[in-house]
Amino acid sequence: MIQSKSDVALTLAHAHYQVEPGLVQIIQLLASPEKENDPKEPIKLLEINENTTSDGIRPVFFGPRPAQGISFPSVIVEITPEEFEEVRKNPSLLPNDWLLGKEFPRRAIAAAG
Amino acid sequence: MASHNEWRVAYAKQAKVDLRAREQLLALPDLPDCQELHFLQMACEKICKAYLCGHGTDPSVLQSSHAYIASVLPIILREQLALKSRHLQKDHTWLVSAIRSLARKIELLAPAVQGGGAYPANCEYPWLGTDGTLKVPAEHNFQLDLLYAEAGRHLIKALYSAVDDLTGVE
Repeated sequence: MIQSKSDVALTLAHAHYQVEPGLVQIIQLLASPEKENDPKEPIKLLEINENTTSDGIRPVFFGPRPAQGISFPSVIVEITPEEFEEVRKNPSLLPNDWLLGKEFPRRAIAAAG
Repeated sequence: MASHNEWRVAYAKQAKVDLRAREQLLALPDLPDCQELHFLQMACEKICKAYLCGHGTDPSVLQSSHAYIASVLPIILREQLALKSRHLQKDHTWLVSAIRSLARKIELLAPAVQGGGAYPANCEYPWLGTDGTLKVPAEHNFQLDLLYAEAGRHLIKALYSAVDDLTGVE
């Protein structure tokens, strides 16, 4: 069965909650629907992490990991809770016209998993 | 004669190119881990050498060794945390410890760094395994995946940040 980007994003979010104690929230970032339909367009996660530095939006790229069920490339953007407040008020701070998408809350993932 | 700061900037510029090359390689399907890790190791090494040049180390001394990542990268990270963390009261021991562990693993990816012969696995050249069989980097599992490792994403973010800081002209 082919997994959707949203399913794979959830898998990745779950994995990151398990290894990052400072992670308070993960939100999927979305490009235009046209781009998101392209399998080469990465899954993009905005990770709000108390342990990271307040250093602006610095996307970090990774390739697909088919063996771990991550069939798409991915981009992780780690920001602090304070930086997220700024992004929430002004989403145009995100690069590449990315938009805030679905949230993957820690509690909901823990309860499901 | 180039100054220490000119060497700092030169190493940092080249590290930035290594990081970009890593990103571009990721677009290739079925890219062996060794290729991504090779550029990561090279970027880390140059960032550490840039940092040392900026702190007065003789650049000629740095050219004879690849073994600076494990000792210097955690220092760069601690400095970043001190300067760029809004949670100064927060205990960053976990993060620094995780980065230290990753830095040691990345340092060992260079063929010249073998941990006293205990870690011949590297990203560039075949080696003879302990079982006597020939090992190929492109077929080897290095057990190092920053997408999943503790603090792995932060480490790469910290590298980009360090490059920007180190290319700054004082």
